[in-house]
Amino acid sequence: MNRLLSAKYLKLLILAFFIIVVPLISSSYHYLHFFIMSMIYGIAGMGWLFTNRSGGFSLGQTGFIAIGSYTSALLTTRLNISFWIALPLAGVTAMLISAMIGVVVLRLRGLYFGIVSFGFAEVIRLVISGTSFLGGGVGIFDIPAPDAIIIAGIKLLEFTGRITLYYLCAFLFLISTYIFWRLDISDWGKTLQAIAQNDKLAESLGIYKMKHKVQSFAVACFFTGIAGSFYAHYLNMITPAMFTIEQSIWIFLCPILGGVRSIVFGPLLGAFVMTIVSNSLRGMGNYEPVILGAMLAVICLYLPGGLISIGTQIAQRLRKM
Amino acid sequence: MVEMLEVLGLTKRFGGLVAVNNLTFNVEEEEILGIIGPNGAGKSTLFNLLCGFLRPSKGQIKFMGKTIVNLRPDQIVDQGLAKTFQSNDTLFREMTVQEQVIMGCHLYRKTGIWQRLINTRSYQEEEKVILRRVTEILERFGISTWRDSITSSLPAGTKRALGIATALAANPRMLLLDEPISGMNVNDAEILLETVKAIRERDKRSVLIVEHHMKAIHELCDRVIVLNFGTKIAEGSPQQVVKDEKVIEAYLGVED
Repeated sequence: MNRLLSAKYLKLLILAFFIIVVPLISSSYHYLHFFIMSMIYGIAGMGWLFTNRSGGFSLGQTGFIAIGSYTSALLTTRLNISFWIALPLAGVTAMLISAMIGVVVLRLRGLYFGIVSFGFAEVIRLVISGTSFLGGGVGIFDIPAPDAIIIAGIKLLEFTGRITLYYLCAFLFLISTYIFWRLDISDWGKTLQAIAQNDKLAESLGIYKMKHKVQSFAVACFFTGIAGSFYAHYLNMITPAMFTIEQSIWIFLCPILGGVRSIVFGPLLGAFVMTIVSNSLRGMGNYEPVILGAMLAVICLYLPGGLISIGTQIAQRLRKM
Repeated sequence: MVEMLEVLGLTKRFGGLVAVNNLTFNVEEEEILGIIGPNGAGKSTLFNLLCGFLRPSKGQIKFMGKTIVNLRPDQIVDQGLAKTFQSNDTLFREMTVQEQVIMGCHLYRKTGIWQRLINTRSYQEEEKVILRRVTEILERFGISTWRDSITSSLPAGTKRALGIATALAANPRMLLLDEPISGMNVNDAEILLETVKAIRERDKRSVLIVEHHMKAIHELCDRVIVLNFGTKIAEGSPQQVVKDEKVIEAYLGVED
């Protein structure tokens, strides 16, 4: 048991190592941008997957990214609050709102929940577009980069360069990965799966279904809000047009593409592949979603376990031959 | 004798249909009570009312002196009234046998979400205690060889045994069984009935069995209640009940 556990930790350490090493290879703008965007979507994807563990198929995760990024952007631009306070507040706001809606919406099952969550994200977007205080349809510009960390008058870290921003993102990503992973492999995570597989039986074993569902949704949305906050301060501007259904689809495609079994690797891998593919398809214009869609269909058909399972799949095929 | 479960004037209406009509009965400590009836007699409705999946239109259900009609299903289990479902509903289909029985120990857990997050010693201790208990239960029900198999791949008899093992993992005071032997072969059914007997003899628990067939639980039950169209038409020892005219009529119809 102990050996197994340490092997699991080892995986996480290897992931951390790779993430830390990335900027040492090259520090070009585009290269780091890929990784930063992958990690932002990776966090949101893990959140989606965590919600999905108890059976919900959310189509509204973009709403929580929006809530996170707007909370943080408004606090820093309008009230001059430090990024380091705005960041957790963005997460908390997303968490509170998700818990409030979750109590009602999570009673719905499967796709019904998906439809309502989609509606919710659209409402958030429309409210933002229509409210001038929130920047209206234009959005919010000149969002400051994260404030420098100053201790006793000495500037320890400045977040103006791409590399420091990368490491900040990596830090947020690794923390959320650890927490999602820890919860996912604990009996608490198993409880969520139990609810998804047979909710009546779960209830008859004394599991309070709604409590677990709302809790997991709130945890997922907390980190989605954090990712949203970083997203805003990284891009320095946000507009309502960024938070359409397209982004929600992106968020759930990441774990589905990467693999849903592992909460650590699947979403990140999926996000990474999606970022690269969509960037290399930039020149294709309107064909981009078509090609992405075809790619997804092929992966769902031939790699139901996601890209992460490609190794075991090939090994299986070879053994059969 | 202490009364474990008391049902008083229980009524459930679905629109114009009265599925359970003014039903009153009780289950005593260490008793095995059978509730039988033909199709549409209201057995499933009664079962769902007792579990908390349905709210009664009228009447009272008391478990160990406390009313449970307003409780959620999971709260009722917390009071000590566990249950098993029919055939495939007793499974978490993608879990292994061991994982499923671990789920059954849910009510044993005391640690909070924060302790799981940082994997504290008390959480690890709890995991060990639960694993030990699960191993015991698996051995007792003779399913330890299946420990790492996926539940949906088990043979029918083993699935039922697993269902009961899962329900007993939380150490309930009373067990509700919904059609435990329907669709089973004779051999499996006999093993299952032995298991149920052992629950009474060894664990000193009460059992309430809802069944379609009289014969199957004839030997097992101390007392039988026969339902038809939601009302109680007979009550007594199994030997008495099979001779009852109303019961014969309900099952076989009236002779012209």
